[in-house]
Amino acid sequence: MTDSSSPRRKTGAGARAALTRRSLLLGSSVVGLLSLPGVAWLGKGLAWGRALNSGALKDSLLSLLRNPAELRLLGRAYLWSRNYRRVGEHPTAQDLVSRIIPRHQTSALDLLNKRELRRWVRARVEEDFHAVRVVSVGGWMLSETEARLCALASIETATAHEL
Amino acid sequence: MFHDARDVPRDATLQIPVCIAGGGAAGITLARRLAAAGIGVILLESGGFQLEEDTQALYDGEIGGEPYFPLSFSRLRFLGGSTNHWTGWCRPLDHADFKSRSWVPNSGWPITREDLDPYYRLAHQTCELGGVEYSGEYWSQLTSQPLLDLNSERVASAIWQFSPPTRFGERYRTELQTTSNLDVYLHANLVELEALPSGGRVRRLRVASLSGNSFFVEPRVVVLALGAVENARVLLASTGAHPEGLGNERGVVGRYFMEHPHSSIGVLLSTVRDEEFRIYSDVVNFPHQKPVAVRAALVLTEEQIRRDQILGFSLTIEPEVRFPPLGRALQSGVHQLTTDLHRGAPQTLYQLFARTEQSPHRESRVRLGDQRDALGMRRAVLDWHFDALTRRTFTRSMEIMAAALSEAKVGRVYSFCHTKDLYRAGCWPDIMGGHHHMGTTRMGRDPNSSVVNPDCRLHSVENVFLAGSSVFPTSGYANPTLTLVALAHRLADHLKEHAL
Repeated sequence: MTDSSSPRRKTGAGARAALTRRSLLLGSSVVGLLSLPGVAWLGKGLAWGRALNSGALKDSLLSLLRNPAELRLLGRAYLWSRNYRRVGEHPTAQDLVSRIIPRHQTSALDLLNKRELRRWVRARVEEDFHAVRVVSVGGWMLSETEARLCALASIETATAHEL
Repeated sequence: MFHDARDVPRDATLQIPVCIAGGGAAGITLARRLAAAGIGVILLESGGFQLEEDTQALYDGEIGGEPYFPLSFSRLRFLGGSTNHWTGWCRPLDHADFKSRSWVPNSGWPITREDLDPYYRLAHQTCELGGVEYSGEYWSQLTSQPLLDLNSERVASAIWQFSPPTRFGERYRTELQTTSNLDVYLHANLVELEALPSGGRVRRLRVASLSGNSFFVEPRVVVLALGAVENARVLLASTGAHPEGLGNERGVVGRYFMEHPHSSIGVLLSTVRDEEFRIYSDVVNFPHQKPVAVRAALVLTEEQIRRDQILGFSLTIEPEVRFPPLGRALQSGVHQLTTDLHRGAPQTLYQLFARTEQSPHRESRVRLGDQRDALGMRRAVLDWHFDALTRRTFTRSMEIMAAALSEAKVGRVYSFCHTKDLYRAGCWPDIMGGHHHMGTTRMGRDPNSSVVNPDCRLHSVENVFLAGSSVFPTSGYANPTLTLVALAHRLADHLKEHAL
């Protein structure tokens, strides 16, 4: 028994036609897959990861605040209330960013578009208040998202003396 | 007609169908109703028409437990009683206040709000209010004052109506003077209820005045309307038939004393114009229709209270601000955060003032001390206690209120009871009472946990009834005067129909 006897073996024009059909099928499958929300999320998730690692996401969040240093006291009070008393014990900026913008919530978000990000953060804050997800920051009742944003501002604007 | 107890022949005995001890809101309401029905009534009032220092000193007592006002500061001992310094806040208890709640030990009244509704209508007349209308929307429309649009699943706007306030001694003095079958004895202090040896019936009352005179009253029915501290004190001091006091076979008399814990609980950094919550921050006068004034407070919805298993809570917005340094230091950050993330910049600081229900606590009580007053009666000791549920009500309620006010962009909230280091150190914001004395002779069906039955009669004594807020099994968050006047009207109907 040789391969030449195989009914599936094609040569010449027939082989080219089969290849083209296979490519089309594969291509359409990839397009179909990419159009699924889950894969779109995968794409966004990858973007989220890149943005997180590069610090771009942190910078975007901080850009929502006109003067992040002004929130330093609030941020320190929040970290203090969470028992992060020493600098070495603090969560990192990446930790905080990933808590403010969890990966799974980025599917509909252009992460680096400031206007969109502001709208998204506002919505998160309102969700927090609606669900009574509030925390005391030195007595001020902030939403969890706001408090983490203050903590981020605090870490990023800490002076050498504070460190 | 008015009499002076100092002029009654010594050791005389006055016979009468009903003797009411205490000429305050409850006693005067009851006396008017019974006398108007043609029933002979003696009303005993410790004081005269004005404040007299030596009479007022009869209230002096000791404070144990939580810090509290001097007892002689909370109440007034002359005709009209404590309505003479009443501020006039009126609101009925909510329907839910009458129900038993699984998370509140000893909660539940043996009567319902519906049972009391007809008497609230009468109480409104007595306290010179308008109709029994407490809908926020109704008053908002009538006064053209907007209500805050907050998360309605969690928070509601509750209305208080304001009595002028009715000074019962002044307002009803002419009626008390001219009603033929009503005799009011001034300077007349009830010092002991003398019971038959069985203890099941009171035979006579021993009455004394500070001048040294004393006499007796022999009524068919006795009503104690002396206030929650004094009602308990007189029962505990009446030991002729039972060494622990009249009606106190189960040791319940004096227990379950309640207040409305009050506290300047926080600060609102408002982000709306003051006009948008004026009805919460000030009394709104409405001259065209009774009542002349209303005010709103933020309260928790019944569903939210059930969900969080806490107590009733109300919050008013006050113009004067007391603010700790830490809060001030962080304020600029909150200001910036609000401006950066949300629309509307912060405007003005307001004080948030909380008034809450307290859960009935057996060890919160009035008892007799060793000191004696000028009439030889043992003075009262007040051991006021409130429990962890009451404290949790403050903290959780402030979280809910802060979230609702922030969500609606009314403003940002600073909460004194969430300042963690203070909390850890046990340094709460100042919690004080509101001069609202409740409990001590609570109403119920079980003599093991109550003093009077649903008719407000001592469980074990057939002719002694209690009037006033001492019969409240739970306190709600509303001021007690309107409810105690309603209960006095209800007791009047009961006595007319069944007890005489």
